[in-house]
Amino acid sequence: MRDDMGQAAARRISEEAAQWLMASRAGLDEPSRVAFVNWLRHSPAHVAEYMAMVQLDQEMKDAAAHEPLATSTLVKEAADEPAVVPLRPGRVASPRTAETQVHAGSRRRRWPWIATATAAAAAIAVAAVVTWPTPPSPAGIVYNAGAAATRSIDLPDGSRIQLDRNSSVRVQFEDGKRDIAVIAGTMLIDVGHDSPAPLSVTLGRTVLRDIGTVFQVSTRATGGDITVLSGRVDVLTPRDRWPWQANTAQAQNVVAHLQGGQRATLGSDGSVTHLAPNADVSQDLAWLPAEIDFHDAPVAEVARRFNAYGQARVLIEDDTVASTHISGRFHARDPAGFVAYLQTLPGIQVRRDVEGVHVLRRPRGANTAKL
Amino acid sequence: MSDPSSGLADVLLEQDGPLQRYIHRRAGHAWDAQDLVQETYLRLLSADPDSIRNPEAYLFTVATNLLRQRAGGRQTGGREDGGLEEVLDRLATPCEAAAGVDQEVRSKRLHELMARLSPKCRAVLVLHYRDDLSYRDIADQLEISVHMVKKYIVKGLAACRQGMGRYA
Repeated sequence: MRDDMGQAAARRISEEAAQWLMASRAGLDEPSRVAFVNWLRHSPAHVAEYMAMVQLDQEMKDAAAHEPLATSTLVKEAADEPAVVPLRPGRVASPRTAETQVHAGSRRRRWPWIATATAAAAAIAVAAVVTWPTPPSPAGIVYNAGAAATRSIDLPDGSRIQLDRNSSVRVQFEDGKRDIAVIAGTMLIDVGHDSPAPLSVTLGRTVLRDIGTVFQVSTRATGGDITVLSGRVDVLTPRDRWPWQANTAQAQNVVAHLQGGQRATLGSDGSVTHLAPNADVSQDLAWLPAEIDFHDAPVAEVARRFNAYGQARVLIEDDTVASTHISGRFHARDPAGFVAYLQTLPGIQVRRDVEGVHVLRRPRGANTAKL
Repeated sequence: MSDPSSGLADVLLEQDGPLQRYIHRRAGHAWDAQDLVQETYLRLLSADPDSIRNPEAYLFTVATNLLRQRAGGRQTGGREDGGLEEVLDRLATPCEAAAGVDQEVRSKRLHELMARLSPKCRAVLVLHYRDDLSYRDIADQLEISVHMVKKYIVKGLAACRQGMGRYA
């Protein structure tokens, strides 16, 4: 049994190991590398703890996946957490005074000295508990993809967003609405149907209303592009303000109905300047990753990911097949490999026609299946 | 305060942890994770620090090589079969080393530990590990600094490590 001092020492080593892990992941410069090696050489306990921390880091991904709370809920709970604010020396105030000061500002106050004050907290004897004022409701979650790689995001309604490099979107699912704003770059969205709330996508001043579909939105300096792969998208009249500020009662007219294979080009004022009836979809989607990688995912989900690439659609027409879990890595632009893989599963039958590739279950005892 | 190396059994993956079991299976009971760490540490001490370009990769490469030697010595021919080779490569990738029947149990336990953290700390960890958000994104979401995000991750990981150490 470890005593308190031992526990404190063990925790300190854990924290140091975690710090080195993060530093190592971010990339070490020469002085940091030397410092890290010296830290490891200091004690076998450091070596052991670091190796354990690497393992924990891997396990955390799995454990975090068990977390059922939505991101917005976690953010709200975090915002409601009472903050322990160390006071500056010479500014001794009762909690009541501190609270009044916080409320005196109309907006949430920033405490720029917190970071330094926290470091010095041990030296300061006086601390006051201040309940942080509830912030105005968060204006959605911003997702960014950096310059290095594209990014795939699964939303709680079952929608899947692919973000091109250097792109960002803001997602706000609240009050029976699903709003996604494309802030920069290009987004491909495969709209999920787990939510009955209407989904709208904002691109500058243009609002798109989706009716269950896969489409791509790109921002350009002079406006933007919308390419529909499947389903239908309505382009509404340009708005003067952002959707989360706009009056919901405000009537919006449909400017254009876009169908699969169509691309609309928007001007900077949000108006549709060009409509291509048969767009070269594959060129628009050239930025998507060349491979589809999935682990223990249902067949239906994997098919959806292939279909987002706009080739011959893979249609899973049997619930048992659709819910079968598979793992693998395939060339994204070649669904044939995926279909061939599906055919190796027992009892699977494949039929091709103009609609796409139908995957169904072979009826028991029947040699020819007419469906 | 106790000598850090005497508390090795505590600090290292708990007595019945996955890495420990892994090593038992592969290298035999005469050699455990504690020995592996001790040996790895000795190699680290005798190595030229300038030659260690990537300390993490170094540690796992040394540990893998030690295991390989150990396993090789145990076999009559001293040769490794392809299966073992693959297994050792997996050990070098710790996520694979954790694969096994106990993974689900550990994962649940970890999730429980995360739920006990402060709301901010928990939110930071989930946004980082589940939602795959960058430090910057998390900082924006929670309206805290990137510095604080990193601090919460460090505190959270340390708390989870300590918690996992007590519950094998």
